[in-house]
Amino acid sequence: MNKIILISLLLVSTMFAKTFMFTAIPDQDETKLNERFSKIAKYLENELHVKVKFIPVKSYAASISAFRNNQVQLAWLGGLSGVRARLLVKDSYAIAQGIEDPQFHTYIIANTHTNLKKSEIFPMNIKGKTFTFGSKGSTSGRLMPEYYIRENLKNSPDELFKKVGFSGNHSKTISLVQSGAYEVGAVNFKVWDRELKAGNIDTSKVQVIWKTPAFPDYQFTIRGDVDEQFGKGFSKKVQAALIKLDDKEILAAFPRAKFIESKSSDFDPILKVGREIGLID
Amino acid sequence: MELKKFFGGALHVDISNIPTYYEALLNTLAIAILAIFISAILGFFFALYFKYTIVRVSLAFTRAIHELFWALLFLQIFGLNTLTALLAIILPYSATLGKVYAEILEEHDSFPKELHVKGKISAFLYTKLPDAMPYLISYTLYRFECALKSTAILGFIGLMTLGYFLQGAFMQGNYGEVWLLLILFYIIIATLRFWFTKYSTPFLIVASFFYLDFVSGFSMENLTRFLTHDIIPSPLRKEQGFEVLFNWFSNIATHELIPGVLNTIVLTQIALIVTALIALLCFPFISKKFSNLPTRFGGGILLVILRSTPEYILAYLFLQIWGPSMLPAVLALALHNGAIIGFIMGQQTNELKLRIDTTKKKIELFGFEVLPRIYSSFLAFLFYRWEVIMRESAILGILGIHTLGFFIDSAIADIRLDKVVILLFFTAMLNILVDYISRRVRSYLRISTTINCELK
Amino acid sequence: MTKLVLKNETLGYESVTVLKNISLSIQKGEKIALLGKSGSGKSTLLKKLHSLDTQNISYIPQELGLVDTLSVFHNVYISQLDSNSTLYNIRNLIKPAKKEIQNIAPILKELHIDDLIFKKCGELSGGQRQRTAIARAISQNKNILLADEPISALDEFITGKVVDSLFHRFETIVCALHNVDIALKYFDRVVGIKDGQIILDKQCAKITSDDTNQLYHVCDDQF
Repeated sequence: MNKIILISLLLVSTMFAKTFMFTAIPDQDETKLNERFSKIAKYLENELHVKVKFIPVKSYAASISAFRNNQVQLAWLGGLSGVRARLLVKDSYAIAQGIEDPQFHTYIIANTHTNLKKSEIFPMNIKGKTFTFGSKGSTSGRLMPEYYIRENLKNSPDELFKKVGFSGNHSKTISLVQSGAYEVGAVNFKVWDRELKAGNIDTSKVQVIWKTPAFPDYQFTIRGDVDEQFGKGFSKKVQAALIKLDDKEILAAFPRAKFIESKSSDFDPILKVGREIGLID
Repeated sequence: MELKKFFGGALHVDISNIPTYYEALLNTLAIAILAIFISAILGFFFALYFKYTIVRVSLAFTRAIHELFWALLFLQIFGLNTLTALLAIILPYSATLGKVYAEILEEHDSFPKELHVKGKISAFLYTKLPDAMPYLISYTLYRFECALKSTAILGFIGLMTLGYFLQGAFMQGNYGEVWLLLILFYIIIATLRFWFTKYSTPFLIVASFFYLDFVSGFSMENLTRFLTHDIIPSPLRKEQGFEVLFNWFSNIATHELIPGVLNTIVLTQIALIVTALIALLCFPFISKKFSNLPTRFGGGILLVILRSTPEYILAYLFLQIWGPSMLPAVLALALHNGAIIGFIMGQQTNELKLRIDTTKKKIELFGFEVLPRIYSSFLAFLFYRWEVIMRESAILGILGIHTLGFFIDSAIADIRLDKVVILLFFTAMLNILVDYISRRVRSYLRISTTINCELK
Repeated sequence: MTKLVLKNETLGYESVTVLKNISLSIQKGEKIALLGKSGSGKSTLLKKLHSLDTQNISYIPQELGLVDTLSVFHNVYISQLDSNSTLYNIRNLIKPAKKEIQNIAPILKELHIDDLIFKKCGELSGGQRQRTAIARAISQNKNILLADEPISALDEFITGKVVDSLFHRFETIVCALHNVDIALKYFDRVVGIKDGQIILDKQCAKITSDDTNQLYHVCDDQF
């Protein structure tokens, strides 16, 4: 009797062979995201022997809610969005991050018209300029720059700047400051470095003026119930697959030198800052 | 600079991209068709029970919240899927249809009472409904066109419709792609009368029904969590007592609600005035009384394009060009609504019968003969669009102007749905208030019109 | 039962008095033409008479009360709605029953509009619309007809046919008219209204040109 139940359960489970879905915060240009994640979906499919599908979203909030609603089981999130996602899904944890991610930075960039120069200490003279963050839910584009602005200038961005905007993503922040639509902006250092290398930035128009101290950022976060959904040890398998990834093309698309193990508590500093600023309850 | 790039993009339209959009294109059509079908049925039943206050109030409320806001909310419950898109359209659309259907049915009550038919259903089917039918159908068709636009725009927040690619193309400055998508969009709208006919409609509805997958997104668990947890104000959820709750609310009120409401009102009012100016300036260009055929042709095309392009898309474009401020929002709202009003006014002036010996000077003709005759209907149109402009002003906040939409979007980014619900509630209230005032003003204006007639 | 009587009645709508202290008695079998200028109160009087005995009276309002988007058939069938079940009515709305068509067709033939049976009323001429309303009244099978200018748009030949048909189908008729000649040619009795009063009530044979002149003024351009 038990056997029959087991067999029929197996049959049913193969009939409804689940697809492992994952998403990512849309922190840069869409074409770059699609290129990056379609490659890694293929890689994971080969490694995990299940169908893997990337679900593109248009906002940080949408990636968190998809993770929360179990419409995706894995997500490439920022420091802040990762903390938020793990607060909402109790049984979820960080499994991997880029080797550079524990020591992440934000660049404060300025249009050259402003005559703001690169400095080692916080550029107090950005006060009164127009300023753009990246996305409202971004760590390097919002949380950390806002934290350092508040700490150094002792006031909220709305009070300090002539105009505060949210460009939507890091690529857009660079182009808005370069075009002069905003005088100053905050951008993910990885995105900046890669765009600079690719020759997409006109340094006669926009330059880095300050680099924040290091903070932990991006990571892969997985739902705790994936083992139930995809078989015992599945999350370990995902973690192992990510860490042993050595495909140069995929790594370059992120861009990360390699992936290393990560755990949720690595991001406690982000949670603390998030609470301080009032972005997390 | 950016403007030059935008118009330059028109030269770089790459038709070979079209297959990339097939899915989004079919989704847009299927969602709009199914949503308007369901909305029409619901709206009809709402219209029958419109005399009950509870029906009227709930319809006013659902209608007052923009479909994009509904979509943002449903995104949190059902995720990025067809169900979210369908509900986001059906809720406000069935409410609007319900109200307008009720008004049409009331207006078309011309059957003489002396020929009283006792059977209520038979009387409705034989006397009221056939009389009202042409008006019901033509209004539903108009609403279908709106639904197509709304569905396309839902793509801007991630649903797989035309707006999905449009937003991506805008974001990355691929203006060639923007042009291609806009042209596809105009073709769909312009050819509507040819493919949405009384013969094709049943087929289209059935096909849409089978094409769309609107079951897979539904999860009772997520819905329950939303209703019993997410939207409960966090101090209540954490049982922190009345004082914390009060502080929580007053914080929202002072930092988000009040500034949001004020900015929304300011944007609405400026946009309304500029709308009026644009309408007055542009209607002569499509009017036989003022312009020759080539001018009317050119003016007509320009107005139709502005009229068919949703405010949201215009605003998105202008924001890319000028950066975020009130100006792009005002211009987007005023151009779209000004074109709508200007178009109707132009058509109205064509119907005017003026004396043969009227002045040949255009400005005098405008000021002494034409404008005075259509001025009261012009005001009525303006007040009618007032509510629409306010709905849109609120939503444009998502693009970065500090109207209510900005704070709602921020609350969603922070996954604070309790705050989202409060802000949405007051957004709806503001809209209902404006709708109420506008209705009062319009009925007052109508009275004064008849007084004028009697004085003549 | 078929006698309609008004005694010292004052008629009007809302606060406006149209007819003051009028008395009128209509006997079974009478064919009465109601004359008077536009706005003199003919319609008000007819409506009042109709309210005296709605059971036995067919009424044709001046605006005819046709549903433009329905066919001639349906507009005539409207008079049968209350004697049939809702389900049967819905069935007839979608596809008319043969039986009902056979009931209605002869009436339309009498009025020379049988070829228009499935044409929408919105597409008909004024005269055709009037005849559709008349057909609806006839199909009610009642004894009395009250009609408010039902033949004003008909040509001379058709007028004769229609009046014949009405006289044949109804026992008692009160018909508001514009045209004095038609009144004198076909009807038995003329009732004339002016300034809120009945100023003329005679058998047709006794009507003089003075009577009609007084009713309309000589110079009136109505005839």
